Amino acid sequence: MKQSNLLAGALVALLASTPLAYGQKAAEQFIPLGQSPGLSGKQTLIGRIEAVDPLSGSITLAGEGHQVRVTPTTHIWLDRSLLQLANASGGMADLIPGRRAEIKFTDTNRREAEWVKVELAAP
Amino acid sequence: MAEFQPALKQGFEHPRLMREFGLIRENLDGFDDLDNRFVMRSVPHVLATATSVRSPGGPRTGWSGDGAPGDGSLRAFAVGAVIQHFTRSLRRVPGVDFRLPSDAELDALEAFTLSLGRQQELALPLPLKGTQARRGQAIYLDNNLGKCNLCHANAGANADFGAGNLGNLSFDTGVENLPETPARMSGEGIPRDDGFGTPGNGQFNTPPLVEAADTPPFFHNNAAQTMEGAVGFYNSAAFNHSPSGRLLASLDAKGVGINLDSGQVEAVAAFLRVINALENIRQGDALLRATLGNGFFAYAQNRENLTQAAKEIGDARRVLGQAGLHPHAVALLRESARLAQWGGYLGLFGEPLVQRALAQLDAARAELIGGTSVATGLEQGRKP
Repeated sequence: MKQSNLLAGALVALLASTPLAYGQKAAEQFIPLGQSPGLSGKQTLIGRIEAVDPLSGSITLAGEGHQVRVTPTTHIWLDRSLLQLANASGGMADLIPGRRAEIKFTDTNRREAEWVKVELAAP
Repeated sequence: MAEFQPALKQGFEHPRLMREFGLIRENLDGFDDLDNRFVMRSVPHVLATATSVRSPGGPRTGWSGDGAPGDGSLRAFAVGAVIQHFTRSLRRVPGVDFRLPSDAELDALEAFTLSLGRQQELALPLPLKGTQARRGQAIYLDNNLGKCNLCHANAGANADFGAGNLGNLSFDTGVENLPETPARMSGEGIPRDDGFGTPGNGQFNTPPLVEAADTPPFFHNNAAQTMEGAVGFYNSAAFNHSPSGRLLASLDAKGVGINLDSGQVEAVAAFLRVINALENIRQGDALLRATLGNGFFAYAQNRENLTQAAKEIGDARRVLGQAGLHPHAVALLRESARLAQWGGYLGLFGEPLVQRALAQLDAARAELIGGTSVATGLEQGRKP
């Protein structure tokens, strides 16, 4: 086999290990719910939280028939921009029925959340 | 801002690292621990972005390819930049500390960025006239010697391992392992930069090389100040012990990653300087020609174009002159830039000077490269 072919094969293998592009999570936290460029309204689901199942770690948004898993790697962010407060990291306990949320999925089947933004509004 | 806004004095930019070493703070791994969790990066140029932003996995923005929030696209990049750099306070409250760009503004910023610089790749090899640059090009293209063209195909930002354009890829080349970068020599605490992702994998994007010579310093941490230093890095232990260096060595009959002698390093650098000068000449030429026949009412636009043309031509002159390359071309470029500048001052009456500037520019180009009929990728932007 020619050396160039060997090189191509090895470097393609290296390429295969190269990660896919993704949206930067650090800044995402500071983007209000529904305003993420290229994602909101296209690749995310926005709606009110209808049900939360803490045992299975899943939530259901109103109008969406199935549960979405929230895993330990899922980022949960509190969108407090309506309160003019800094957005912050949150947890499962912040996923409360009735609150508006936006979910970005890890998979095309929309079964697992990569991140969830929960909107906190004035009472 | 860190110098003038009390709210941004801590946990924002580091004035000394910014002003002395051109390094900007990025909180790519989160904003939870501003004192300890950050990286210091150089500001990459955005020229030829249209040729360099695409990868098999989607767009690559910023030094580690993950600079944009949202869908990670170039269009979304400005949103991340506003949140990181344009905040009034470290609380970063949307609508209070910053305003996010509108959809129309994002569209415009993306279009503007994509319009800058080269819109197409070169077609190497070029019929270069200079001995050193010609030899440098041969080393560059030699996959058993320079090995540069594998990852920087046609001196761009895309890889081609023999099966066609693979787009922009990221590599761990060990730049971060250099023990003594200028900024680290300062004694300032600079955390290790782990590249793409959180936690990072040590990989950084491949930048285009045509634009390199007049946009120093080099690498994500401004580790190299000169073109020669940047090429020489690939001889270093840091590179040859890196994943990328080890891969090249494993494929080499002698087990060598990259090992160029000092003359070869200078030759490759000369090649990169010459193609940068040619790109500056191309841009200068297009700007000069854009002013011809526009009439009196285009005075302001013409003057702006001619000022810019003089700067591009000046860049070409400096890039060559710094390494003692093509002294006759350097003299022609100096005169061309001078004529372009005066053409701008004289308005409609300056057109003869612009014509002379073009002639000097053509003559300078002819010193560097032959065969204008050859498809080089350098003709774009020239009016027939």
